[in-house]
Formats: sequence, C-alpha cells, structure tokens
Amino acid sequence: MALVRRLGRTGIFVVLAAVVLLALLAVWKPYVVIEGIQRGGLYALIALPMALILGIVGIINLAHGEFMMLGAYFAYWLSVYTGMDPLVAMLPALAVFALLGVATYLLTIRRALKAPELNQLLLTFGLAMMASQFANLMWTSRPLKPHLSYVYSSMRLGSLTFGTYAFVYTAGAIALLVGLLLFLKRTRVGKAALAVGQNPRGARLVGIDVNRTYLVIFSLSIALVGAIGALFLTRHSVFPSVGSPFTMKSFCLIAMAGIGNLSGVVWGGFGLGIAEAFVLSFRGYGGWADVVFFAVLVAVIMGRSYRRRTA
Amino acid sequence: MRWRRAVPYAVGAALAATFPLFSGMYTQQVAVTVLIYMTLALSWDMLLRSGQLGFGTAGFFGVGSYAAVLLFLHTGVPALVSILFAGAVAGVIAALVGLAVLRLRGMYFAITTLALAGIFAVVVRNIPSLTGGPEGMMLPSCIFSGDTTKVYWLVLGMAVLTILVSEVFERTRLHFALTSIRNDERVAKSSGIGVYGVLVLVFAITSAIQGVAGGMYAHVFGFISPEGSFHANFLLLPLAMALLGGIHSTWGPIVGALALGVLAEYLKLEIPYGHLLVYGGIIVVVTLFLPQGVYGAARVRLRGSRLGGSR
Amino acid sequence: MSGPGAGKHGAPVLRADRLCKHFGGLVALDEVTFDLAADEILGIIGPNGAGKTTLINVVGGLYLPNGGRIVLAEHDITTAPAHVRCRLGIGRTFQIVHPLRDLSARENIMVGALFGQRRRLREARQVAEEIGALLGLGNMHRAVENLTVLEVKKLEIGRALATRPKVLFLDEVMAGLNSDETKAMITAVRRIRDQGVAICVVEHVMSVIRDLTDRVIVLNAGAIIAEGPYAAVSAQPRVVAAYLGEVD
Repeated sequence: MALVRRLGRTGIFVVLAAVVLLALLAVWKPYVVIEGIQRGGLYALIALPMALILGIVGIINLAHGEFMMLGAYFAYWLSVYTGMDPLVAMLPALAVFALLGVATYLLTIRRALKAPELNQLLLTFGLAMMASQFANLMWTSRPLKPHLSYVYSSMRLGSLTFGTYAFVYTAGAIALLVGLLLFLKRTRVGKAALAVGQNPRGARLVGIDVNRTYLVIFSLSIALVGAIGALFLTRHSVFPSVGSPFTMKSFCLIAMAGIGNLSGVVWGGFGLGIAEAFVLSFRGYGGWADVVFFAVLVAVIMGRSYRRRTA
Repeated sequence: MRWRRAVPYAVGAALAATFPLFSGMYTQQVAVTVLIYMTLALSWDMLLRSGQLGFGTAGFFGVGSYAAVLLFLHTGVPALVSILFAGAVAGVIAALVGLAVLRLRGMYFAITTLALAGIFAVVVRNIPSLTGGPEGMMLPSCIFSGDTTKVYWLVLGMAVLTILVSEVFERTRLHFALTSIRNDERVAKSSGIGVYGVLVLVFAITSAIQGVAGGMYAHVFGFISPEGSFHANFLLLPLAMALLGGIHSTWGPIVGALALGVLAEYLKLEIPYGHLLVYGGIIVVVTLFLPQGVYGAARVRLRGSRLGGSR
Repeated sequence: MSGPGAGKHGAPVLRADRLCKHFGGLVALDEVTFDLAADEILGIIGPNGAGKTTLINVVGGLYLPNGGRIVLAEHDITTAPAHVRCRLGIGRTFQIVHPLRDLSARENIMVGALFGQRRRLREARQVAEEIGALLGLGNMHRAVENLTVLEVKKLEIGRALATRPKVLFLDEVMAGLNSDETKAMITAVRRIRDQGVAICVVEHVMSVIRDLTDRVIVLNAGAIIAEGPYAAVSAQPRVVAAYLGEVD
C-alpha cells in the first residue's frame, strides 16, 4: 500500500494501463512479451552500472558500452586459450576489470572531475573511441563467438515454444538490482556512496573520503560491466562496435527513470525491450527496432522539459 | 595598426589561392580532404562556443551526402544546387531536433546528437528503394569530372565561407551571446538573452554547414553508403583537430586541421588501421592536459600580457 | 535620506500579488504581496532562508510562481520567460557574483546593453563606458580575474544597469565590503535611483537598510510579517523574534 501511495493517482493509472496493454499483448503476440522481457533484462543489466556511476560520481561514462565489449573479448579469448566457459569467465572478468577501472579512474577520470561537464563527456568519448579502435586494430571487425550448446535450450508452454536461456539476463538484471540496493542501503561503503551522490561537500564534511568512494564506485561499475560482457558473449557475438548502442540505450533508460532511480532503470529496460520486440514482430519493419530507443529518449526529454517549464 | 592584424589572413589567403599552381594532384587531393575536415572542425567549434557539446557532426554530414546525391539523381538539378539543398535539409533536421531537445542541454543534448549518426544510418538502410539500402549508391560521375584543381577551388570556397561565418560568430553580438550562455546561463537569461532560441539557431546553422560539407564530399568522391557517409571518422577527426588547435576560436580549428590533416596522411601510410586510435588518444590527452589546445594556450599567454593587472 | 513612507512616490511600477512558490513540500513564498513605486528604494530583510533570493528569482523569471501575479508597468509578466522580463525592465544582480569570465569588464556590461536594451555594438560600448564611469570602475579592459571584490560587485550592478531596467533588484551587494566601500556603494545606489530606476535592496547589513531605503518589508518563512519604514519595523517584536528566535 505504500507503493500505491507513492505512485499517486496518475501513477496508478499509468501502471494499470501498462498492465492491461501487457495482457493484451501477451494474448495477441505472446512472443513479443517473452522476447521483450529477455531483451529488456539485458538492457537493464547493462544500464545499472552506468546508472550507478551517474548517480554517485555524477559523470556519464560514454565508454560504458566499450568496457562491456572489452569484457566480451576478454571472455572470448579466455575460452579460446583455456576453454573456460564465458559464464565461469565472469569471475576473472570481475577482477580484471576492477583493476582496469581503478587504472582508468586514477589515470584519467579523477583529473576530469573538477573540470566542467563538457570535458568529462569529451574524455569518456575519447576513451570510448580508443577502446573500439583498439579492438578493431587487434581483432578486426569480424564478429566472434564461442559455440555453446546450452544457449539453445527451449521450452514449451501450451502452444508456445521459446528459448529459455535469455531469461538469464532478466534474472541477472533483477539480481543485480537487488544486490546494488542492498549494497547501497545496508553496507557502510554503500551508504557512504549514497551520501556522496546526494551531496559530495556535505559527505566530505562528515568525514567520508569522497575520492575513495568515487574510485570504489567507478571500479565496481567497470568490474560489473566487464563481467556482464562475458555473460553477453554467451548469446551474442562480439565485434568492436557492439558496445556503443548499449551506451546510448542505457542512457535512454536512465533518462526515463531519472538519475538515482535504479529500480526505474529495470522497469524502463523491460519497457524498451518489449517495445523493440513489438517492432521486430512486424515482418519487413524489423530494421526500425533500433530507432525505438531514440524516439523514447526524445519523448522523455521533451516531457521533462515541459515539466521543468512549469516548475 | 589594425592592418597589421590582417597580415596572417592575407598571407593565408594568398597561399591558399595560389596553392594549385605549385602543388601536384596528390597534394591537392590531400588539401581537399583537409579543407573538408577543417570545415567540420570549425562548425563543431562554433556550437561549442555556446557551451553545448554536439556529437552530431558525422550524422549531419551523412544527411548532407544523402540529400545532395538523392536530389541530384532523382531530379537532375545541378550538383551545386544539390549541395546547397543538402545544407538546408541538415539545417532543418537540426532545428527540429534542437527544438525538441535543447531545453535540457548538457548530457541529454550530447547523447541525443551522438545517437543521430546511427539513427540516420538505420533510416537510410530501411528505405532501400529511395536510398539504395545497405549498399549505398554511386554517382555516374564525380563533380567537375574529377578535375582536382576545380574541386580544390570549390572546397576552398566552402572552407572560406565557413571561416567567414566563424568570424561573424566571433565579432558580432553573437559572440557576446554565445560566451554569456557558455559562462553562465542564468546571467545570460537575466540579461535579456533568449538562450533557447540562440542555441537552436546556432545548432541549425552549424549543422547546415556540416550538411554542405557532406554534400560536397559525396559529389567529390562519388558515392554514398550507410557505413561510409556516417562514419565515425567524420566526428572523431574534426573534434581532435579543434581540440588540438584550440577551441573557442577561428584560428584554433584551422591550425588543428592543418596539423592533423598532414599528420593523418602520414599516419595512414604508417599505421593504416590505427590512425583512428591516435585521434581518440589526442582527444583524451588534450582534454586532460591541454584543454585550450595549442593555439589557445599561446593566445592566453598573449592576452595575459595585453590585459594588465589591476591599476 | 529615507523618505517618510510608501504612497508618497507615485504610481507603482511593479506589483507582486499573492506570489506563491513551493519546491515539493517546502513553501518558499507564501502569498507575498507588495508594490514598488518608480523612484523608491525598497528594502527586503529577513532571516536566512526566509525566501528573499527566491523572491528575486521568481520576479526575475528564473522560477515560475505556483500562484499569484506579477505586473510590471501594465505588463503581466507572471509567465514570461526571464529574458523577456529583462527586456521589459527587470534587472537583477546575483547574491554570489557571477561575472562572465571569458569577457572583459567592459564586455560584461556590454552584454546588458546588447540584449537588455538591444543596442548596437558601438552604442553598447559607449553605454558600458558611461556606466563604468558612473560606478567608478576604472580601467574597463581588464579581465574579470584582475578585479577587486568591490569592482566585481559593481560590475554585476553595471551589467544589470545596462539593460535599462525600470526595476533593479540588488541581492546582498554590500556583503563583504568594508565601511568605506559600503559608503561608496550606497552613494552609487542613490545615483542609480536618481536616474529614475526603482530599486529593491535585499540586505543583511541593517545600517545600510536604515540609511538607504524608503521603506522595508520583512520576510520570514516565505511570508511578509511586517512592512513600513525601517525605524518602525525594526522595533516590532515579531520582527525581532524572527531574527533572534522567540523571547520568553
């Protein structure tokens, strides 16, 4: 009932409308709902670490998708040279990318924190370009993927047959959300991070080491997204430019949810996933699915500008 | 003493005008490419002077390429008319995007423009009957039948016009408007500047210039394609040029374009697949260590000696 | 010299009628109503957080009010954007000074003339020189970082003045000035008033309020709790309690 109060009257109306629409969709095009939840899970999973950095450190990491891409390459070469399954490779990826995050932060991001927002955007943009060009140079643009038989698992539900592996992304997104919320609200480091995100100067005044918090959160985000890259590889090929659409879609989700709203990012992910799956379900129009997020982003921006005008 | 300040301009103009007389065809081709990138670098910087970071350069460049070629092929207007049309199309699209998004500015604007190139490419791929789809289209012949010297004059003319527009931005009341908006929007608003309107106008003008450059490029090289016309090269290199040379000025992007343009030719020979990596690296290094660029740093030192301390 | 009180100064050039502003649950302005006559100097005082700067932001157009009306010389500007209000005649300074760093002192003031008055470049240069002289700014070609604190404050006022305002809001311009500088600033403000600008002064320094203003309104927690000449208002127990807390 607290949720009901928090949503307010328009909020409840929106949720009810969404539920009705979803039910209609499930009857009319059930595969759209299934694939939408799977796709949406992937989007939410990738967006959460970006939301973490934006909410607490306050910068947009335009290289976010590129770190995921590097994580996928890492898992790929690990599987080629050691036979390690990418799912297992998530663990070493966490460690390696945590270190990579620390290095990136200390060498570059930290200097940019005091600079205007423009410099931060340019910096992470430059890093993104360097990463994708580096990958292109090292491994060419050929898509690479290890063959894994378990990703083809499927199941039957009544008259529907659908792949079940991709639900791992959905489960992962929910697990990550819960994990992050617990981390932020129950642990000391997490609570300090929340404080820093809301008011860095105030946090510093009460003795929180703001720079160390930034370092921890940034490295955590990079570690997570590197591991997510390994998970990504199980079902998708990796190539140098695979990451950048995810950077932009992640930002779209964060814009939808509002900065600092992690659960909203997950809901937004499902929404975007279902919307894209819907477009994809129309034969011949599938190519337009990649425009959906842009339309959503512009709509969100326009909606927010309108609200700000009357603020 | 005002004529003394005109000397560098006069020297530059003389050199540029007589260039084809003492250079071979290869050098002229390089010059054509450098001048096109210089135009892009200048137009990007002009928007940056308002404090807005736009990543749409490659997008509007590609839009211009497609608009020029499609008009030319479908209606047979002269190539030059189609190039102007390209600028108009890019400008109108930018105005629409700007009207929708520029109330929120900052990172929202940056990411929306970053997404533009990809979105335009998707659109182009999905209407193959009009645009030739993923394979693109070729022109039956290049403009001026490929006469390099005439092409050089054309592109030089565009570059000179762009330099003029940039100087208008620097020497008229627009300079005051842009600098005020960049330094402090609230002060700008409270001093009578209609910030939103100015930004939309500047975004439209600079995007139109990028469209003209794209149209010219398409006619000079004779083809359009989703990968080629919207390539990240057309974003990365102009940014690196403007940053390296010195942002917020006319001479900065010119210097950067000349320096990097020459360097780019050399890099393409030595490290054929790595040169984009270098441009990304330049963006990172300049943003971190030399935010005013080479020309900007020199100018600050000059200005410091002209404007004395308190008296 | 402070005048005897409101109503002796002619028709109001600015009326604020029951202005309300809230941020979420926080009420910043609660039915604030006041008039400003064309040659008055009105003081706005109140404890920290009373809503003084919010009031300037609402009248100036950086925030839109949630209720009420603002009328400037027969124009209803309640929903007008900030730059339109500026062109119609509202000028203001900022409490934390924001000089435009990439422009010289003269260029800072020119901004006001160029866009508040829509002058041409050459005329704007002249207006800036005149205002610089009026305020005593010395060499106007200096970069902003080379100015003293007093000069930067004068620059703020100069930029607002260059927009040819009918009403000028000065937000704590005396803060951080020594007594000589304060006297110089008071003289400057009077000179501005003599040129026909109605002035609204937000201040914490009571001696300034006493010497400079014709009358005063007192804000506390977003509402006006007293109004009138400073001498009368400053003695009221409600006003004293607002600043010092309740007296048992």
